[in-house]
Amino acid sequence: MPRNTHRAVHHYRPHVITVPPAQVVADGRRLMRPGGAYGLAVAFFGLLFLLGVVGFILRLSGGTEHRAGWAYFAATIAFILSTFQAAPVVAVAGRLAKGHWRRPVARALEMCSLAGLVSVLMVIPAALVLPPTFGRPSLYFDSPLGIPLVWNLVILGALFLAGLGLVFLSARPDRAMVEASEGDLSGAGAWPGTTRQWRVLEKGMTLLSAFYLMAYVGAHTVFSTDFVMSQVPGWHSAIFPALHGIDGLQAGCATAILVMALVRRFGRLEAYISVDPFWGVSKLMLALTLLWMYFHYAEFLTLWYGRTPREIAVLTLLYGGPYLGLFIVEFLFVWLIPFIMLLIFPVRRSIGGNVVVALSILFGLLLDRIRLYSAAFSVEDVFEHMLETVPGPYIPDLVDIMILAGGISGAVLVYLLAVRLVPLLALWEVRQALLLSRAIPYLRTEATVVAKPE
Amino acid sequence: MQERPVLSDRQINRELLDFVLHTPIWFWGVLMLLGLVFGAGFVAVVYLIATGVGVWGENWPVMWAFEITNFVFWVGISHAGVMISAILRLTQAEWRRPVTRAAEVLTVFALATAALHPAVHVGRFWRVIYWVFPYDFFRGIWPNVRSPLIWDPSAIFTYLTGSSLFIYSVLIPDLAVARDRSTGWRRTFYGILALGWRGNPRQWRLQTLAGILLSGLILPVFVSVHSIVSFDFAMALVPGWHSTVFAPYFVIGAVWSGVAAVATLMAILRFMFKLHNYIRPDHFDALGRLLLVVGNAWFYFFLLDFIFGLYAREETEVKIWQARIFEWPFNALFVIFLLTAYILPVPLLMMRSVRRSVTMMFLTSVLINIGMWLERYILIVPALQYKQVLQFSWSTYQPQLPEWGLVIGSFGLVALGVFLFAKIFPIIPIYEQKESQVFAAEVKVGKVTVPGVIRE
Repeated sequence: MPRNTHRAVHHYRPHVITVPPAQVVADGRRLMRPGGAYGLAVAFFGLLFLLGVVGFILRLSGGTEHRAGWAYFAATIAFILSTFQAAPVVAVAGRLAKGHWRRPVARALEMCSLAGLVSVLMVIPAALVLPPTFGRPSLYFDSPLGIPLVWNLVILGALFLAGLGLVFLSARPDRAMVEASEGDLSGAGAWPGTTRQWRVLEKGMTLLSAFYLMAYVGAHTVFSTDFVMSQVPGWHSAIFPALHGIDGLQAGCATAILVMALVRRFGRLEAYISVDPFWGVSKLMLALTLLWMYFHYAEFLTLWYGRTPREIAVLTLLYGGPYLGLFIVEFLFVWLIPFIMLLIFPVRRSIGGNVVVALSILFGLLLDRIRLYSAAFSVEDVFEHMLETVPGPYIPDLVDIMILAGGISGAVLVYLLAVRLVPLLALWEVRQALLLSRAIPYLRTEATVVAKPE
Repeated sequence: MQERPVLSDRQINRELLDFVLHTPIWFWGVLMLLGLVFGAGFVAVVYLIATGVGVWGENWPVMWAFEITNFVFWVGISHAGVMISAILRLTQAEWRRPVTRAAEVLTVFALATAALHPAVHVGRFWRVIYWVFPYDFFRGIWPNVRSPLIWDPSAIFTYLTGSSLFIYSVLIPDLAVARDRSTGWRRTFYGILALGWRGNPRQWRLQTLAGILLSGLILPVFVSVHSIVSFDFAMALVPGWHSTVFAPYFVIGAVWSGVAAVATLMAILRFMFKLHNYIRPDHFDALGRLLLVVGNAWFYFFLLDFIFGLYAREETEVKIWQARIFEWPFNALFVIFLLTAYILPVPLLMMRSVRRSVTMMFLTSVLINIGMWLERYILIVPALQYKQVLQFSWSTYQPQLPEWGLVIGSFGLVALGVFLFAKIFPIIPIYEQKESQVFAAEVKVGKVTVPGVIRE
């Protein structure tokens, strides 16, 4: 039995990457040339995506009058917005807070934003299904400029472009390094790495990070109001857009955990990605799980305490009658199971435990988006003063499932295709970590020193 | 690049205990000044009790005005301490070290001051005892659990107890230092409070554990307190108040004003006690960055409240927003509120030169709190003025001298509390400063030496 087991368990110190700089570039190059399983994954998700396209065409052929049939389509966009497009927020927040743990995983998470291409494309037909905003409460207050298609396209487009900008900008030095290591100096010619270039890169990354955060908040605000709240007469809940975004951030953390685990496992990046980023994200995930409850409770309690008929009708639609069962299952997966598991310290500090929690949250969030969007799209008369009749539950058909699976697969496919263009590992950030963090002897043990240049 | 002066343990002890163990002549001047400010409030309260709440400008239906505005303001300020101390402690942010204690002390005195307001507001504060506590079991007379007079004391006293315990548990090592460096009654006083602290490994382990546990436990309480205060408003069916976003909007607003108040306090402490070695531009820079994030988040929630207040286009709700924005005197106050709470401070905080200037941070943080006080006033009074549908029951509100006295006096009370605390206990945690010296390290990167920190 090893000595000092107690010390080893309780005196964990932050991981220090000790890979030689040349090896970092070699690993980056290797990640851009993925092997056999990659081809299979592309084929699998490509096939599912095609099925989704078929589903979309079938749904379109049925017309847009029956709005309830488009609920799963909108829920798919909301799911992508709350998972793939929320995961980069973890990296972006880590960058703005100058957290060192983000370095080996920042690129893999920022690349999730590219899946926004799918949500941008999907929002075009989805917005056309929405009834006119004139004559009912909406963000546009009967303005002639109140065209949901335009505003949703603008805000989702801005989010996608901010993500694309982040990936493009941060990948420039890496691509130059990889190409130079292969003997192609044309990339290095474009990026010789002058002091000015580095300064522009760092400033640009900070600005784009801040812009991404703002666009994320804006996207949830506009999308959730247009596609959910404004379709339910009598539902005037100021907290709802923020709640939609907070749910998304919780699922964004879950997506980040899943992406980190997959990249670590299939990219063979154990030397770079230790348990530290999982531990860091799990703390954030616990905080967001608590916030999930707080935001939902604040909304529920205010409406329930008000007890006006319009509030009770909204509560019945969302939490009571038709979707009660779905809400209970969702609550279990998105809140109760993650909350209990994340309270356990060994779970937070393990990769496997975090992955289980992440899967639970993602499943719960999927049910949440289905519940919200099905309920909103099922309302027949959106021009009423209040919800006079609570519609029954919407039961999905095969086409809905095809659309849901196809949309999510499309997002995964975009990510997989981008892997060949950009190293999954942010090489320059990792090489910075090699310079800025060290293990030093400290009394009778070792300690990790992290340099703070700013 | 961070500035980091190398300080010996002896120097840290001497500088941080100087004001505690010696009384400079200016202490009495400041004490008298703060006593006078507090006295104004005291006289106002005595006059109110002797005469009755008719001396205030409140008139039905505006029965909540200056006092409740001030109550919400001080509960808001109290959110700084735990937010900074607990969150930064849990995230191991190095820059927290000189800031935590002042923030925690501000929490306790702001909260105690806030708690006085509802009691004073009822006019005959001794009656609160049987509104809050069950006093006659046999006749089945129970407090109304649906009343804010139950909710607020429950929340505030839980938070006050937790915060006081939090301060005390992290103060113990410093009390022992004060005990070992004082004589006479002071030695006995600090000795009793230090609970036999010797600084052995077990004591340190327990103290660290207590700090972490209390940090984790106090955070939900901190969120719940201002949420409950917001429920005083949101649960009522008063247009302009009955909003689902009020709970997080109040909490984030509280953090915005509270962190700004900590920046103000840090600037004053640095000037007053010559703490230049401990409270450095680095710390103001970090506070500024935190303020920048919180300020933008607060503005988002303000926009949600504004947009969704108008969203349904209900007549009374629209009328209230019209009053807030277009009617005298609220229009002028609204402009000042927007300028001071967001439009001026946020762009200022975006400038590194401002964040690193103690004077500018002091001014910016004062601006924020002017704006946040007005925010609460604008939120409360116009909504009550027009809460009735029939016009004959509309009313106006004009604050009277005793109300001004109460508001000014409350600032005096909090300032006096913090000042006296700083006289009796070290306002900068001594052991935290020593720990920061131990954790300081350097990393050679090429020809450059970069300051670093040992990570636990």
